[in-house]
Amino acid sequence: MNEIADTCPIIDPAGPATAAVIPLAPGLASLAGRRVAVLDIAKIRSDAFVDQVEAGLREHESSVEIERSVAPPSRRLPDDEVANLAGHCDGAVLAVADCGTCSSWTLFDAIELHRHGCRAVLVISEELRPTIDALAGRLGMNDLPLVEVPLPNRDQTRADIAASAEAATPAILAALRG
Amino acid sequence: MSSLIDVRSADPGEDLFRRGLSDGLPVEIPTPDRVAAYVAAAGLDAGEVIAHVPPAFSPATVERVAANAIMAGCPAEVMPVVLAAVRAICRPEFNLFGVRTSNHPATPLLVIGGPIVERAGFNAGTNLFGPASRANATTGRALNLVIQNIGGATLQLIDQSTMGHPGRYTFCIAEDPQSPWAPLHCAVGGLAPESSAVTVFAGDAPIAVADYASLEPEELIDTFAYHVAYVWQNPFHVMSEVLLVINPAHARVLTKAGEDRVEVLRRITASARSRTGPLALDGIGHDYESGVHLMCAGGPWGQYSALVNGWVGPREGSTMVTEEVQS
Repeated sequence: MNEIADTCPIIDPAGPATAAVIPLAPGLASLAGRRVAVLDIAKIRSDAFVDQVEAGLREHESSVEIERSVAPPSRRLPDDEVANLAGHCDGAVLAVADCGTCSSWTLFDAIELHRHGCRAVLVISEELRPTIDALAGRLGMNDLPLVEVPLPNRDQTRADIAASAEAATPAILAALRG
Repeated sequence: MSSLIDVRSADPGEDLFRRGLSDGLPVEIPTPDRVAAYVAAAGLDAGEVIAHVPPAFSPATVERVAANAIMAGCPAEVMPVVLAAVRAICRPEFNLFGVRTSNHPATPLLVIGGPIVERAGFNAGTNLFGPASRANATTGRALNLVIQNIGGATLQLIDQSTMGHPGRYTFCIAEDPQSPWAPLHCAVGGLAPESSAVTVFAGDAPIAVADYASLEPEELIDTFAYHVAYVWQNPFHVMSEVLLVINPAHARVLTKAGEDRVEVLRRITASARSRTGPLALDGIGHDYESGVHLMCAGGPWGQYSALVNGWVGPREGSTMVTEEVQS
């Protein structure tokens, strides 16, 4: 059978499957004397997670400077805030991407921080990994540093969330170092 | 140059479904000839990029939009409406990236206004949200296919809505040309009444507002206020706006003394506030009252209107957006 005769051309209704690749900001090697932004997605009980992350980073390296801020859950960080953060922070931890919009916009913010040269690490709940991987690829960053935690914050008590953050801290440190 | 793909001649629609390019319903086939005719109907160049569609921010060429419009079954004369709708949802303040990656059910509701309503056969009357008009059904469907196919909102992967929404098949209504109030594209969009436009609102499913007893405005005001207060009192409807779709029979009662849009909204929101008292977001200065909108549409008889609750409102989420139809 003639294969050509078996097909017909149509106009592709889909957009391009790939985006221009955004380079990853280099790892920090060490946190000594570095400034790291810890960004709270400001959803239910997310502060319990980032409080513990901050404590864990300080415990690991007493000379690290921590800047606490918010990654808005329903919209992107404005360009000037991204530029400002990237201008005076060497790295950033955004946590926890554990639902729909807060995951997608926080992922977007993390990529923008890399675009501005700031080593950003996104903490996600493991069930969202396929979504994060797919969207990150469509936005041009397949290798965004990710740290997975088992459960969304909203499904846990504050004590359990703090324990989850403590358990994730070595992986966050490793992702910041690169 | 046109972007072509090869599909199986024997059953191209099934092929598109298997590639994940359908909403599960049968699609028309966007052959190069048909797409060229729809591009011509739009009066634009095939390769012109009219917007970048979230969540992937992919370029929407006129040709790609036409392909999705054909798949949705659109008649060629609604192409300018589809293009305006795509421009509207891609405006940053509409925040489609957030709307269509959210766990929330909201999705863009299209409200068509102006002379195009009657010219292209959009339904503003009976069975407003239901199947009554090819123009409504296919324009709303085309927009959803654009979001899915061009925007990359892969169903159940990047599009993560927990409960979904029947409006993610199609969600398009029109404003009654005989509305007693200025239409949305004038009141919200600032356009002239003689212009045609698409207004987009990130909306949840419509809730029926039934009242077949009230004969006086203040009675009916209270009915609408009850529903608005219901939304305001739920702290998980974060700053959401509300669109009241008021049917002509209710509109006749509400405007007995010639009340304009501003006055009707003032009375509904005042009555709602008297029901609720202090609200959760008063402390941060949230303006509940300015987030209530109204329009007139629906069948002429039968005292059923609708309330469409929104996604996260303008301060942190999505703003209602109007785009003029270029034709």
